[in-house]
Amino acid sequence: MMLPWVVAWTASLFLLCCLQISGAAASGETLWTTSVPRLPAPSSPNETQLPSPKNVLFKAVIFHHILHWEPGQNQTHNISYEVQYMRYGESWNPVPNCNRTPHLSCDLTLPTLDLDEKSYYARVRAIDGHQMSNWTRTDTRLSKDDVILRIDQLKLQLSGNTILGKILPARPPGATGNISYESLFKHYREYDLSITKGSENHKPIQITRKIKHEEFNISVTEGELVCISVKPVIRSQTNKGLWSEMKCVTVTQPYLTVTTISAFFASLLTVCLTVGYLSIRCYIRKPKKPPEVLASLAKQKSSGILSKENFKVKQDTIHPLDEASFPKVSLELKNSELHSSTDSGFSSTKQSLQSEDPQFLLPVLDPTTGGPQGGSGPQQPKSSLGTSSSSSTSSSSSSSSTSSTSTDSGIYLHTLSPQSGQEWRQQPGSGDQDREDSGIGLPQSSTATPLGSSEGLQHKRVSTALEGKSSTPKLPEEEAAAIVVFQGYLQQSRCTDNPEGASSLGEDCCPEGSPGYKCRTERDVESGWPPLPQTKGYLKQSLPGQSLGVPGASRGQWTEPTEEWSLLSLVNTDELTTCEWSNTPDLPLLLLPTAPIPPGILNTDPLTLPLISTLHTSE
Amino acid sequence: MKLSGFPLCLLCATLFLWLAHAGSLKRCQISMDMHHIEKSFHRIKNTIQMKDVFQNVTILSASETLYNITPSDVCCMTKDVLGLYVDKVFRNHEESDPRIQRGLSTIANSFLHIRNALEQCKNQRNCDCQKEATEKFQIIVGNYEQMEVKAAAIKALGELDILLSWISRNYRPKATTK
Repeated sequence: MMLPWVVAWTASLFLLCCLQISGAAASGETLWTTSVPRLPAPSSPNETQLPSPKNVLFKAVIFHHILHWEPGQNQTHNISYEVQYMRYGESWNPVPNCNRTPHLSCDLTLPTLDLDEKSYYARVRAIDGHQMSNWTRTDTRLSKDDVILRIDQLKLQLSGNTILGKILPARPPGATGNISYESLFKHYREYDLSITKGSENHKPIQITRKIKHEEFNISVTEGELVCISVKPVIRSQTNKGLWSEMKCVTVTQPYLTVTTISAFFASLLTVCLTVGYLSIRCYIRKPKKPPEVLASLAKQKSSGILSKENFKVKQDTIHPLDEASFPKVSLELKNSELHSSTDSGFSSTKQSLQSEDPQFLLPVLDPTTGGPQGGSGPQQPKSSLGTSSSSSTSSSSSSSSTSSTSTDSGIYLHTLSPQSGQEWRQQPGSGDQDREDSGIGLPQSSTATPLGSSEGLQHKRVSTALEGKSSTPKLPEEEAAAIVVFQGYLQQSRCTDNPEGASSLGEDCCPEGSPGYKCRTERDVESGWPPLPQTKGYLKQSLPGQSLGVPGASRGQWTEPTEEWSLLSLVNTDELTTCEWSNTPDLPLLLLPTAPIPPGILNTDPLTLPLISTLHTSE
Repeated sequence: MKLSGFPLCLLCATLFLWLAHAGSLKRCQISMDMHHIEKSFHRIKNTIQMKDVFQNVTILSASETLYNITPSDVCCMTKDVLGLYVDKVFRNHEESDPRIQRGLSTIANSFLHIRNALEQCKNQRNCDCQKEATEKFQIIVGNYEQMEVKAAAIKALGELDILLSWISRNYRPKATTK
C-alpha cells in the first residue's frame, strides 16, 4: 500500500528536477555552468603583457596643449609610446609627431586647437619592439573650460606721467587663420592687473585693477618704479589664468628727448659759430696804412734824426731832433691818420713810409711769430720796419735782431681805427712787470709784452719823464722826435693779459677795439706832437702822476735819462690825455720780443735801450 | 491742428513701442545664471567624465544636433533638451559621492527652473518648435536611448559642459557682445 505513494513521490520529484533543469537551460543558467569555475585562458609563456602608461592627462595652457603620461611599472629601457587623439563624437586619429616617441609627453596643440564647442580625448600605449600595451585614455575630455589662460606679451610705454599698457593675448602657433584667443573666448575677456609702485621715499604698494580691454593707462608720479603683471580672465568661465612676467618701468624725466638733444646741438652750433667768428675777426686785421708821419720821417732820415745808428744798441743813438724836420713831421703827423695808439712803434698809415726807408732794419717780423700784428697781418710789421727806420724809432729797428723772434718787431705799420678821445692811461703800476713795454707806450695794450725788466725801466723812464712836465721849447720837439722815434713802436694790442711774457706783440686779437689802440694822436698832432703811430708797437706812456712800475729795475739807473724822458713826458702827458689808458691789462706799450732784455743793455742808451732792447729781446 | 496731431503721434509711438516689445517677447527671454551652473559642474566634471567609458558614442556632440540650430529654434531646443535631462538623466543616475551629488542637485534644480520658464513661453506661443528642431531633438533622444540606461545617464552628465556652453552661447546678453 505505501510503495505506490513512494514511487509517485519520487517520480514527481524527478519530474520537478527535470523541469528546473530545463528552465535553467532556457534561462541560460545552469547549475553546471554556474558551478563550473571558469578556467583562465591559456597564455603563452613568452608573452608578458606590456604595462600601459598611466596618469595620462592633459596639461593645457591656451594654445599649448601637452599630453603627459607616466610609464607603466618597471619600465626602464627603450620604450616608445604611441599617441592618438579623438574629437569627441568622431574617431581616433594618430598624432603625427608622437607616433613612436620616447618621451613622456606629446604636444597636441595643433590637433586640439579648435576647442570651440569641441572636446577631445587622447590615449597612449607603450611599444616595445613588437609588443604593444593597452591603450590608456585620458580620464576626462579636453574642453575649453580646462585650458589655463595666459597672455603673450605685455608692452609698457612711458608717456609723461602716464604709463600706456598694451596686452597681447596668446596666439596659436603657426598660421591658423580661424582660431584665435578672441574667437574662442568671444565675450567677457578681462584682465587682472597687479601694479606695484615703489619709490625711494615710500614703501612699495600693490594695487590690483580689473580691466576689460587690452589697453590701459596708469598714472604715475616721477621717480617711481612701477611694476605690472597681468592675468587674463574670462568672467563667464571658470578658467584659471597665469600671471604674466612682471614688467617694470622707472618714471624719470626724459632728459634725453628729441627736443633736448636738438636744443643742445643747436646751442653747441651757435657757440662754435660765435667762437669761429670771433677768432676770424681777431686774426684778420684791417690793413693799416702807415702814418704820414713816417713818410715824412723817412724823408727826414738824412737829417740824422733817424739814423741807423740810432737803432743800434747805443746809448747815444738818440739824436736831437731837427727842428726843421720836426714840424714837418708834426704837421705830417697832424695830417696823418695816425691815431694815438698804444703802440710804441710806428704805425704808419702810409705805405710809402715803408717803402722809402729800408734803413730801418728792424728785425724782420716774422709774420708767423706769434703774430704781434694780430689782425694787422704779416705785412704790417715789415712795413713798419721800413718806416721805422726812417723814424726815430731806430731803437726799435736796432733791436731788430731780437725782434724777429718777437711777435712784434716794434715797427708796425697799421692804422688804428679812428677813435676819439683816447686817453692816456697809465698802466697800473702793479702790472708793469707784466707789461713788457719798452717803456714808452702809447695807450696801453691790454696785454703785457714780455719785455722784461728793461721794459719796466723804460716805463719808469717814461713815467719819470712824463712826470717831469718840464716844458721847454726844445723839449717838445725833442720829445716829439723822440716820441716819433718810438712811435714806430706801437705795441700791438693784446686782448688777453699775458703776464707770463708771451711774445710782446702777442696776438692782436682786437685791433680795433683793444684799448691799446684807443689813443688818438690827433691832439698830439695839434700840439705839435707827432701823432703816435698807429702801429701796435710799444708806446707806453704813463699818465702824469702815475708811475709805471719797474719790474725789478731800480730807478736809480734811469736817472740819466730822466732829462731826455722829460721831453717825452711833457709831450706825452699833455697829449696823451686824449688817449685812453685802460687800467686793465692792456697791450703793452711796446712790442717787445719775448726774450727778456739782457741787463747789460740797460746801462746803455737809456732812451734807445728800452726800444732797442725791446726789439731785440726776442733773440 | 497741432494739438490734434500731438496725441496722434503719441499714440503711434506707443503702438510702435508695444509692437517692438511684443516682437521681442516672441523670443522667450529668460534670466538664468549660467555662470553659477557652470561653476558647479566644473567642480565635479573630472569625476563624472571619468566614469564614462563609452568613448565612441556621443549624445549631444554630434554635428547634426546642437550646432546647426536656427535662432528661432533655440528656445524650443533648449526646452526639450532640458526636459530630457530633468526627466531622465538626473533621475536615472545614482550617485554615492556626496560632493558630486550636491553638485548634480544644484544643476538639476537650475535646469528645472529654466525648463518651467520655457514651458511658460511655449504656452504664450513664443517657444514653438519647428520641424527641423523637432527632428534634431529626436536624434538626441535616439542617441541617448541607444545606450544602457545607467551608462547613458553617466554619459549625459559628462556632456553637461557641452550643453551649458551651448546654452550660454545662445542666451548671452547683448550688451556684452564684442
